[in-house]
Amino acid sequence: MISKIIKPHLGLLIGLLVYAQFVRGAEEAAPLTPSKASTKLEISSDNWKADQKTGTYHYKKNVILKWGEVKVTANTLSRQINTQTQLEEIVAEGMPVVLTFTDPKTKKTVFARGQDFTFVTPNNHIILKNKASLTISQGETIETDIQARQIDLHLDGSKIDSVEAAGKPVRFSHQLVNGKRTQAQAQQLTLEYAAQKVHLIGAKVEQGTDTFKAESLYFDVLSGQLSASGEGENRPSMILDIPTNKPEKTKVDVIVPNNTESSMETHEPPVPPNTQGEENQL
Amino acid sequence: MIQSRHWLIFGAIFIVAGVLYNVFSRNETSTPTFFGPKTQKVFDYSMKNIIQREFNAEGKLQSQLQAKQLIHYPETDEANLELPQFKFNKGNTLWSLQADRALYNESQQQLKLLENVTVDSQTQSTQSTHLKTTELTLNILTKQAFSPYPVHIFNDKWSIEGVGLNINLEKQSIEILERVYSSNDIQNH
Repeated sequence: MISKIIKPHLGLLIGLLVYAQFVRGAEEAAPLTPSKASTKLEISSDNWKADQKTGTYHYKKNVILKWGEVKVTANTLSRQINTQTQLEEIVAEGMPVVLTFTDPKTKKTVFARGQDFTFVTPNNHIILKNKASLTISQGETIETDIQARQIDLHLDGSKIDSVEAAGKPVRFSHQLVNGKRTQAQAQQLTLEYAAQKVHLIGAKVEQGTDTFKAESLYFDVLSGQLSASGEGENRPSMILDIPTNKPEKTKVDVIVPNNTESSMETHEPPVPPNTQGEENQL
Repeated sequence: MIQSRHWLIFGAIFIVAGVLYNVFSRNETSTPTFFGPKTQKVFDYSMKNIIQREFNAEGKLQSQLQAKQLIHYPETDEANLELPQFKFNKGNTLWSLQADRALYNESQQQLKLLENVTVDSQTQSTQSTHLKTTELTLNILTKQAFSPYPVHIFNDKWSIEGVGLNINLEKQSIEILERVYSSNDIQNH
């Protein structure tokens, strides 16, 4: 009786069993999703030498380092693990060492250069020294240019999180959406890469013919907005070059009152408050 | 009846041709060039489970060569070693070189490791490093080794490949001569 019921459906049952096994096998054989916890570091060169005494590894000639979106070219590279801190230090030298980072989201390219390059892992901190520079380009347009004695790149994974620059002075230049260029000199600079915000310390900023000075100055790269703060002698000051109908331009010094923070919208050109050649007064 | 005879003749011809081809092709490739046809035939002595030790002036064991079997050929003054292993102690590093077989030229103090060559270096301060290649020539006097073949070096954390190899056991250095590629995973912070 049972066999009579089962027999006509035997083929179907076997088919189901085979399918179940196939699905199970496929699940087991499916590759694991790539771990976000680590990124592959690849280094190629013409020559490699290991010093077993010190645990130092030297790569020589045509050195190329690839780490996620980061690519570094150098003449020589050495790596050593500090047995006390367990941090690995990768040191490269070149004329200069060139770091390239292509942002997969914005398609912007970061070029960083320096004659000395140090990469510390797992802190994922890159230090460029000796004629260090960094540019951020969109296509052929250089949007941001930083030149400093030392540039530090802090990475989140293999992506740039922030950039710090120090020098005497740090030179900063950025092209706004309207094509105008902002130029600055500062003692220190911090660029929050994702937020596109720049913090300048001991800064002097020039936008067109206008000049801003402040002990601490924030610059929004996207909007072009500046905000400054400072106290006492270091309180923010502005020198605005306001065009008049007279042949000679009039310069106006603006001193922001003490203990206040000033904010300046600079993405649109300032409208002359005065007409008919009268002298401007604020 | 006639047809079945023809089939038999054809079959016999095929078998003879196959045997002849096999014999001739085997003659061309079967003898490894490094043994040489003459040296393979005549040997003067052989030993099993050999160990050769080298002590320094202070009487401290410096290196040791051991093998499962040694067969000596007088014409070339070379010995064929089966499962050779050479160990060398320098500072806090212990080097161990192994292979499936080797050719040992005693007068030149040269050990040519052949097939599945591995080199392990163990140190107290740094990680153990393992090396694989197909052939490696070691000068037992100078403690320098060389290979022109592809090499793979690895440890728990990284892997490196390249072509051509220099090892200086005394100076505790390993060098890959060209086409270097290394990879390892770095934790995202």
